[in-house]
Amino acid sequence: MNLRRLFFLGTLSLAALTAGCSSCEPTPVPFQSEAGHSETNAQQNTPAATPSFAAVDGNDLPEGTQTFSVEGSAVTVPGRSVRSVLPIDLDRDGDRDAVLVAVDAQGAAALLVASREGTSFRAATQLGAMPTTTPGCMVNRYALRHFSAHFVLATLTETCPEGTMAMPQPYVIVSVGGTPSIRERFTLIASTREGAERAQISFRAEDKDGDQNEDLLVDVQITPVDLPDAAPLTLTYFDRPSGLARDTHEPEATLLRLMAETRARAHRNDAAFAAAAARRVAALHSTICRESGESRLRVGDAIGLVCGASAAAGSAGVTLVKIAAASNSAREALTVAERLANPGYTLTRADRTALDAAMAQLHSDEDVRLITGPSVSVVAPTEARLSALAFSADGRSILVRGTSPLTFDLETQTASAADAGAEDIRIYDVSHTFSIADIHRNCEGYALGIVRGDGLAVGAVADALIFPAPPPQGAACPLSRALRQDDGDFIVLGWAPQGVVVTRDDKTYVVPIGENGQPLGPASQLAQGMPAPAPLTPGAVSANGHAYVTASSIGFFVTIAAPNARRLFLRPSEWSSLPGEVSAAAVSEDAMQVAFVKGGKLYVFTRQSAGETH
Amino acid sequence: MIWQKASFGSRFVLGALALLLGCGHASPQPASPCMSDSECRADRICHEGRCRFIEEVRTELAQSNGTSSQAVGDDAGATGTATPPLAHAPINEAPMFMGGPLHRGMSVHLGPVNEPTRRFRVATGARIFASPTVGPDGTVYLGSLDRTLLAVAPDGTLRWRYTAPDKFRSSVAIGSDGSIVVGCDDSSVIALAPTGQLRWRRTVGAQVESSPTVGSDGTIYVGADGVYALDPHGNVLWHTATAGRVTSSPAIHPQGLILVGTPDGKLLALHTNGSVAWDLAAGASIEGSASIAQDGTIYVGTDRGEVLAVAVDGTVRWRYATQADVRATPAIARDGSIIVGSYDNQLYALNADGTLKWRVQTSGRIRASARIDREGRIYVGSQDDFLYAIDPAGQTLWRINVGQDVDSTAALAQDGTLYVGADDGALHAFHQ
Repeated sequence: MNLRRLFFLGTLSLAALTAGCSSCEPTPVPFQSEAGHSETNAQQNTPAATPSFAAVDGNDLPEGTQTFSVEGSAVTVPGRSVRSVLPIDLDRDGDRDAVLVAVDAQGAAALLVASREGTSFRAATQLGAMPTTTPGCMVNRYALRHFSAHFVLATLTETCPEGTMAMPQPYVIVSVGGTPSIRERFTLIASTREGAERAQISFRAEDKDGDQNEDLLVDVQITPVDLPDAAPLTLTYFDRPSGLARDTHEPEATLLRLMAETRARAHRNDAAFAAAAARRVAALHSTICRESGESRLRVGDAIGLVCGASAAAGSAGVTLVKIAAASNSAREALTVAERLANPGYTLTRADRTALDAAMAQLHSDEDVRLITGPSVSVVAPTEARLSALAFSADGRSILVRGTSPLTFDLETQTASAADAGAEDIRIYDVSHTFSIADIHRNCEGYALGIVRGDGLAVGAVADALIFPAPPPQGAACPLSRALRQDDGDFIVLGWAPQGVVVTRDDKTYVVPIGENGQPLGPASQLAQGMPAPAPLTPGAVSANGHAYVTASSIGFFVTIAAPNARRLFLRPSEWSSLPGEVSAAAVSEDAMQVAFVKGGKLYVFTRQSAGETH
Repeated sequence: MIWQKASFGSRFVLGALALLLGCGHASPQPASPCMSDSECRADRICHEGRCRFIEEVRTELAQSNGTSSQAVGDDAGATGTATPPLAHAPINEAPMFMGGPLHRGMSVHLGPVNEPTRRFRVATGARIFASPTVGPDGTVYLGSLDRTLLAVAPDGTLRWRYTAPDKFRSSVAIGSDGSIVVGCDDSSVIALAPTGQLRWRRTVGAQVESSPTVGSDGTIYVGADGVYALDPHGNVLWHTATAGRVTSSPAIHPQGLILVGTPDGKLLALHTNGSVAWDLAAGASIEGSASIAQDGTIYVGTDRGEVLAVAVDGTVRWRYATQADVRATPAIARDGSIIVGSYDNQLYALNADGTLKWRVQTSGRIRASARIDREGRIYVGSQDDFLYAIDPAGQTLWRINVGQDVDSTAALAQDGTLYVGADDGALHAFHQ
């Protein structure tokens, strides 16, 4: 179909509108944001439409409408309530047919087409289902928009009561050239990561491959955008007889171009641009690509696009690590660096060198003095067991738990056999009636497995939810054994009288457990700086709940509660020369000392700053 | 004992008589007649086989002997004629705000006579507004605005810490089953075991600044978006809504009324089923709690600076005007004096007839309520940072600089240690 005919038909469509389409005025193609289908966004952001085509909106019809007219001819859809109709010449015969959304008696909405023959319409046929409404919410409208000659966009907007969050609703793409059909559904979901950038997607059409057929273009934009004139990243879906086929050069081509610009600007000492560009590349990659592990774009039922190993995202990640390291933001640097170990990122040799240099640049927030203890044998750390190390209340000795428990005296620097009971590293409640078996995933989220006593008795007592999360897409409930093993990176610090204290990513949660071992309400997150409930069995957390330590490959993070709340990155200057991996860590009551086992050897370092008063 | 000597028929009559005399009280009856005081809870005695408040028994005996009584409703107060209160009102202390459901503030223990020394100081991360409560084993329970509730041993060591989603302004009450019950700004009432384990948590309709009061039958009364009555397991027995959030701690009148002040200036009296008996327009917001004297007179302060004396039927006996808000709960000494601080920086002692007995000037507003030891010594904090000790005649015995405003009402332990919270965020323990 050539452009002149497209223009003629488009104009004819406009001119032929009758009273049945009182609100059909040309409007720009909308931006659609992840937070719902915002009409406000549609007015604010108006990318260029196909020059020869003016988009047309469908008409909203009142609930209960079964018969409507198009150009004077009646269309009846028995048994359904027609909510939206878009008059459109589907068969290119010069008169208008209709695409419509109708709801059946059970409330299920569907997309239908009704074709005209002469002065009457054939019975409407169904193309497919419309998205379902969020339980508890009410549909605002079903919207149809003919945004290009070849494509129609169908969407649903809804209103939810306070406290109910609307489900992310897919954008349904219908092709109307040839036999109408639903071609694809795109969904953008909100990020669960605190402080994540917002993403938006929008749709347009253009013949990109020169086959005289419009192809679908999906523009992905990230906000806030610190870059001037930042254009969206465009994904192209070629319209093929077999369906829509994505141009797999994107998003990597655009991301590489952005990173090339970043390097060029960095050479010109435009650090601000480099940082903004790196963040934008990282955000686009994480939004779109399955390999990021946090993709927000759903295409059909698939989570994220298969982008392959991304050199652009790898380079962007290294830039972000360098920025974090320059400000000694150790936690941020470590988080990004650990993500880059994922096979979804490609690092060049230069990237690796830069990454290592950046991590080495991180320095301890305070000077610490290291002493070396004996070789010790400790069990491998797990997320639901006590640390193998614990300071005594006075900080003068360290207990090494395990099959050969011992006590290391810090003053005499001698080791002796520990008292009985130090072999047990299970985490018990205050009455020693219940213990924690594990952290696992279930269909509600991440949970503690509570068992009776030492776990020898058969059967679990309870699953206590730490953090809600939906089951992995496609997983059946109950989850398979493999999926249940996902601990969500939570670590149990201890079991205080009021419940279990758990940490992840510098956040601390309290899971309330009653005297009977049952959860007593939802877990709550401790405000930053708050001490944990106490007393706790000392180890990675101090018995008084005022401090805890988490170990990483680059050093230790010590979190200290109010009145002098802060989070310190600490590591001895000898760190790089200490062989092996960290297998245990403990913090003293006054948070002045950290003990750790690395490569099978016990070490203790002492902060050289003023002590804590609790 | 009368019960043992009577015939069956006489026993029946006596029992019926005792039942009739006891009508209108919330006192639960034991499954079988009591034989000694030790079978009765809190401050009740075993009289004629039933657990009774001692004040009720004395009143009945006085009436049956035809002597003039201190029964509520007589005209002595209304006409202004001085009526001497009963000497040496009994002290029945319970582990809750102001020492019991009558909120008299009297302690069975002796406090420091001379300026004490600080025994220990346990810091929290924010101001302390609540009052410490001393448990039967000497453990001190105190909530802080840093969202923690502490259990501190008599030697100052931390027994346990409970962390909550929001602040604690409410003082702990220890329930009939030993539960540590307290309100929280997260709109909940929680009950913890003495070990610190959570027993139950009840969500109500507003922040709970009010300190719970535990009745003799174990019912827990607390203010929030009105007044709640909870059973010992946290189930809501009833809820009476009020206009605005109640910060006042409910007091329990021996005649079966639950008394609470409201922010819209009412003194509200509820029956033990939650229905309104009466409400009195006090003239200004009531933020403190009511207290009840031995003769049944109810005392309460208002934001208009007045101390009101109210009869059990809701009629005002007298009003005493200070020069600024009275937000403390009036304490009542054994001789019937009413001890209360005002935002005019003064601590007042009023006679039962509403006349001024004495007053003590401090350098800061007095928000805390006074506590009175076994020998009548008065302990109260001021926003001038000092904790004061005053003798029954109004002479200052000593004062000690706590460091910052003292809005928390002090508590006395059996060993004479005086506990108080302060705006420095610490629990202070003073001992002579």
